[in-house]
Amino acid sequence: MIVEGQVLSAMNPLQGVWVVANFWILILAALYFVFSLIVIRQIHLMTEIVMTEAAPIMRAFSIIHAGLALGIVILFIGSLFG
Amino acid sequence: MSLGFFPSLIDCPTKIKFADQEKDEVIELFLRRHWVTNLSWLVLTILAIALPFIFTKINEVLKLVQITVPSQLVISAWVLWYMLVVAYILENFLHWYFNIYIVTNTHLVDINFYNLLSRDATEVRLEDVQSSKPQVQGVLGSLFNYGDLTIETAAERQQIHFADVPKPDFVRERIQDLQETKER
Repeated sequence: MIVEGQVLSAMNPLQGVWVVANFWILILAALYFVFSLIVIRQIHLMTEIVMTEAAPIMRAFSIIHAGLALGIVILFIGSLFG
Repeated sequence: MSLGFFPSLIDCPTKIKFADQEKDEVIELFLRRHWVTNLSWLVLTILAIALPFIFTKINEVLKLVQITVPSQLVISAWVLWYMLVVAYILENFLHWYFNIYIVTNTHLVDINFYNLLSRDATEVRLEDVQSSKPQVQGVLGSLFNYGDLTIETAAERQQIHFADVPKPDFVRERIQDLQETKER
């Protein structure tokens, strides 16, 4: 019982640390999503300046990438705060 | 010098066009940095991919982290790490892919993509080109035949720098040939 009590008291301050860590991970994932939107915009602009064969593939990739980034943000909200 | 979809040098490309291209303007050379120049960030990327596995293995042996971290937090941190790695790859790849040099029958075009938020494009007429100096440096440069080509011009922008392009001597000769053709 004494050991259990000691473990619990040691765990409690860490709970706060985990909550803060969860928030930081979510903020960074949201920033990544913003980055993926900038990538879409930039690829769109650059492929308008130089039109190559790979341009449609790059545009499609940037959109899929942003979709995945958004999916990860939603996944993080569900797994870390659900 | 082809790398599938991502070549560093294309001679007379037919399926490439650029903004501000005139009707009678034909692209003679399409260049970007030699693919070997990507090796440094590719090696770093491989290390970054391996890092969480290496850390986990070291932690298993040395027990550096004694506390129990919630599993969902560990998984999220791994996912976040690999997202940062993807961001690093994207930034470097786009920087290489969109830094383009184009030689046409009338112009030299230098398109620069500095980072995700800034870029510029410069055009110089062939008749404004005064001199060009190729420079191959280093072991990799000599092995793979790539280097810099500095072009002095009489235009507003006095110098155009083709950095780490494949076959700089060939590019220089091509520019000179085009100049001679235009003068005739």
